Amino acid sequence: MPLDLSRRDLLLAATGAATGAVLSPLPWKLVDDVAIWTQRPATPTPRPAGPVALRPTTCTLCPVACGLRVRCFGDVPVSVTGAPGHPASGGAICPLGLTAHHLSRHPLRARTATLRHARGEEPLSRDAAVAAVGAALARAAHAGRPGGLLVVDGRPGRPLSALYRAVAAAAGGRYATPPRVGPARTLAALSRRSPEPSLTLGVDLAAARRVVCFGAPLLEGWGTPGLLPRLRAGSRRRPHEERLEVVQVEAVRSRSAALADRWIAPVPGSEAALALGIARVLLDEGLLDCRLVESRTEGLEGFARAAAPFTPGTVSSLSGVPAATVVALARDLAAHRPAVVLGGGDPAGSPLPDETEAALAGLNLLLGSVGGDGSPIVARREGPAAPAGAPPVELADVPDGSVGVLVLDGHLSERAVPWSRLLPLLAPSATVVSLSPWRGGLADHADLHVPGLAPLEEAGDVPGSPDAAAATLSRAVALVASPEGAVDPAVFLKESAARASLVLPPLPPSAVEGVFASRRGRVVDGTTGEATPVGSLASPGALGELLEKGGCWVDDPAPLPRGRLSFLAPGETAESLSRAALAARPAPAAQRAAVAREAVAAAPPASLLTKLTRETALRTPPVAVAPWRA
Amino acid sequence: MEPTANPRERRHRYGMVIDLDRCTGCGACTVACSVENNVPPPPERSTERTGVVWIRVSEAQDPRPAGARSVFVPVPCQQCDDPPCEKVCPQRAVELDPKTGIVAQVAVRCLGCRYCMAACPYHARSFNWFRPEWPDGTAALLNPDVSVRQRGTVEKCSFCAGRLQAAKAKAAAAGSREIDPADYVPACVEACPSRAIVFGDLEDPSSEVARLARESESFRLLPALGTRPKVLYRSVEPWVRASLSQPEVSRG
Amino acid sequence: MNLKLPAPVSFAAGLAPALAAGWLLFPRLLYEEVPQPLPFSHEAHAEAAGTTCDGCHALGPDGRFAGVPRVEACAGCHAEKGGSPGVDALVEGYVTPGREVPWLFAARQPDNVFFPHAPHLALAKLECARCHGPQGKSAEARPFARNRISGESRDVWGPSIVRRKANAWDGMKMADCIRCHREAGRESACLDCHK
Repeated sequence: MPLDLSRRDLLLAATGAATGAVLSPLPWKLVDDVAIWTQRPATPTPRPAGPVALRPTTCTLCPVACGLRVRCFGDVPVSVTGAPGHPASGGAICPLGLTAHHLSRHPLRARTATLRHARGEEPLSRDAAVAAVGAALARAAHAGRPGGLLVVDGRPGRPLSALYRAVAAAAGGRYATPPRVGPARTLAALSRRSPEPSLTLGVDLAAARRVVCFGAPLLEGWGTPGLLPRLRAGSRRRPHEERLEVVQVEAVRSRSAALADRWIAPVPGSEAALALGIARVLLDEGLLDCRLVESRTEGLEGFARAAAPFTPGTVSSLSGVPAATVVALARDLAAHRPAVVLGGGDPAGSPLPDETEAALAGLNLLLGSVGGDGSPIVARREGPAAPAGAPPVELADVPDGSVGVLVLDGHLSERAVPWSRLLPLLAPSATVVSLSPWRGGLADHADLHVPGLAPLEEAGDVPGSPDAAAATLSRAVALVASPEGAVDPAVFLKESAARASLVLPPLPPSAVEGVFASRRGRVVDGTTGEATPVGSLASPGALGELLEKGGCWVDDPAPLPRGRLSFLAPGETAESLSRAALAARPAPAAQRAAVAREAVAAAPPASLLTKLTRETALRTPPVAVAPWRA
Repeated sequence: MEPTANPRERRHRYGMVIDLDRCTGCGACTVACSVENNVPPPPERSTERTGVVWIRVSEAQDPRPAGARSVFVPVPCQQCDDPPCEKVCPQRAVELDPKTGIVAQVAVRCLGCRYCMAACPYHARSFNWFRPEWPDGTAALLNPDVSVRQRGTVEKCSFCAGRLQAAKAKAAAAGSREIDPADYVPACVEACPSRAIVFGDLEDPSSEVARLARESESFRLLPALGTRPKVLYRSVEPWVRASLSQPEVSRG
Repeated sequence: MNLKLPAPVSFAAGLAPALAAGWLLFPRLLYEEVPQPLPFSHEAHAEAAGTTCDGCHALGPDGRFAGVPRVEACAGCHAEKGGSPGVDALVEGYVTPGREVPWLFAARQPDNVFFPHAPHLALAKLECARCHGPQGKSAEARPFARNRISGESRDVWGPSIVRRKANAWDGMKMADCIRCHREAGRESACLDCHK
């Protein structure tokens, strides 16, 4: 009997099916699952790879060598913070250090050795890289000088530096250190004025009540991040006379200028005139620390002659700074000693001329910022690295066209040594080897780029900043695996030297052994700040263990050597100083306009958030214009 | 299982006081926050209005004619006691946690309507305009304690609630319901190199943050709106207090 | 003459397959079974490791749950092949190369949940079995039932497709958490569990 199916039956069946579906879990469960599916982010949140631990290490991004605590889940580093009790950094680190664990995966990280030639570049295996560098070293050793080896170390004093010097000595080449930059130039200018020109000086900002800064980004974190703002805020509750104040002398309204207690904007190039003008006010009004100047310095007459032309009126016409400001600043500095004057740079980012640094050094001597009890500029001993191998030379002393093989350290920045400074040194058909972990900068000029280790990949002893008040030593621990093609420069160089059949002179004892043998200083725990004198430790191994756990060795204070500091360094005369300072005529109008434009770009219009501003009419005025720009 | 006798937990009101005289505008707080909270790096095509940031630092300049000084003002979510964003959320994705005072933003509940962004007078919220992407294996380095948000959702500062949860778990393992305050410090507070941010429980009168909050130098942003933020600012400079806490009505 | 179907029959003809599909076919299709990388018997290991769960699945000092033992723990006993094909596979594939076993976790919560074991174990004094069931007595590792749509484990929803709770440990959805928290008289807020 055939079945007579009508449209009605189909509709009924469909209704039945719909009813059945609603009465089954299907639609409800589907809605739930689809909702969860839509909530799944494209990147899953990683599961903890193990128990959480704070691992101590040391930052190798810059010479300050801040103590780090890396929060790891198992072996995976997740975040980086400062070691709270670390003597070099006081628990603070910079924004770049906070992402140190990302740097080995940075897009600019070089991941493989590269050979560059006219036809382009090709990747090299590790063995091929060793062979290539070994061949270059052999060629350099054979050529001697000229055509020999030059190693440029970006950060002298490390264990690797000793190896550089040994390789340079074995190949009959040279080992050069880059010129110092920033406020260290003022310290270097003061060293040249001391009875022992090899003396190293450091600055202890905590001892100062007035800090005058010519262009360095002091309040933005020069040296130890946040140190000066911390010191200044900490002194705020003290009586007015004892407070720490910062005077920024800079043509551009930089962040440091905006934050400083006072901002003085001279015409670029007139910094020396301003410094000598302040010196003249101090001399005219007898605002010197006479006892200190008499007992510790010599050559005051010469400096006074150099400062003589710089009356407040002259300074005002040269620098655009009102005469009254110059006089007031000089009186303020004299009244609030210890004061310290630090150089740094001009708005173009280049260092101040040597004559300007000489004027700043003389001003420091007048103010007694070095040599007295509690002076902010103190003598320090060299770091723990023992000298051996090729003696360091300055880049300026390397003759042009004399370098056949140039080895560039991974920490050498293009800012400290521009390529234009290195290019003339090269002989025709010279080979340039870069050990930088990064692409870009000097590494892009290298014929052979063998990437070294990035921060957190490196392990070993790390000396502290050469500008700090005392030498320090801490230890870096490798917490991040380096890319396959990266090499440990120390291991790589030794292999390459062996390939070149170079016989390395014996390396000096390790820094830890050096520190232990000196019995000087103390090891400060990076977490608790507890100090252990080195003298109380039983062996270098015990010292190394403390460093491994995040400790930091700090040298004892060193006395300033006996003898007088000279106002004029060898080769300087009063006339040369004042001539250079007088030469600073107000810049042409076009240049002033360019600097003014840069100033506006550097200080974007202040708005406390677009929305906050609009909704509350919280208005901010246009950028303040420096007087000389008006 | 018998229910335990009403274990009502102690109330906290977490808050922070930001010392504007210390802030140098370095941005360490923003960076540390982004690392801690898995905030994705902005893609190339984003602008300053479409990137995601949980704590933004802005400059405020001395408004007086001769004023050349600036302060830098870090603005995280102000964690209002009376949050305008909570009232407008159609999804109940925003919740003022009565036990901690933290204004929670639950990303998976968020529809992306952005009513809360319009309601927030502090501009403290960000919308994920782009699909979050981490370059080159950095996704493996994300913080497991904070979930990754999706494109099309709003997010904001949670006072590092992931750290609070971890601190609670640690306290619980030791048999305590109360955390050790040292275990719960938001990433920005920990990262600030000049120690400008003090964090703690405003409800605890003996805490440093409560003491600072009571001082006359401390103030709130836009107090007239009545949102009662738990993020306070302080400065010894009268001009800072005047221009940030009592903004003048439009000067034309 | 042709047979005309009565209306209830037509209706039932649609209803029945739909019900069958919804109740029987759909749950089967929704979940896929992913086998565990290795066979594992809790029962066999309980003798070696002691009879309590925290012999192997311990809370760390930071209150985080250590989860499944790492492969070094396996290597303590299974350093060499022999005994069973499972042990051979473990030694060959994981112990010798030092690779972690990619176990599939049935009790894993979604990404946006921060579930701390510590308060539940140390403060509320819950038994492991309260949420995990009698896992410790199992003789073989259950295959991982993965939801094809959401990707989550079946244990989150629970074995019953209508979320009928035959046991206390059936289901680990937010509703289950909240129910228990309400019974215990605890206040809850989003941030207590959501990250």
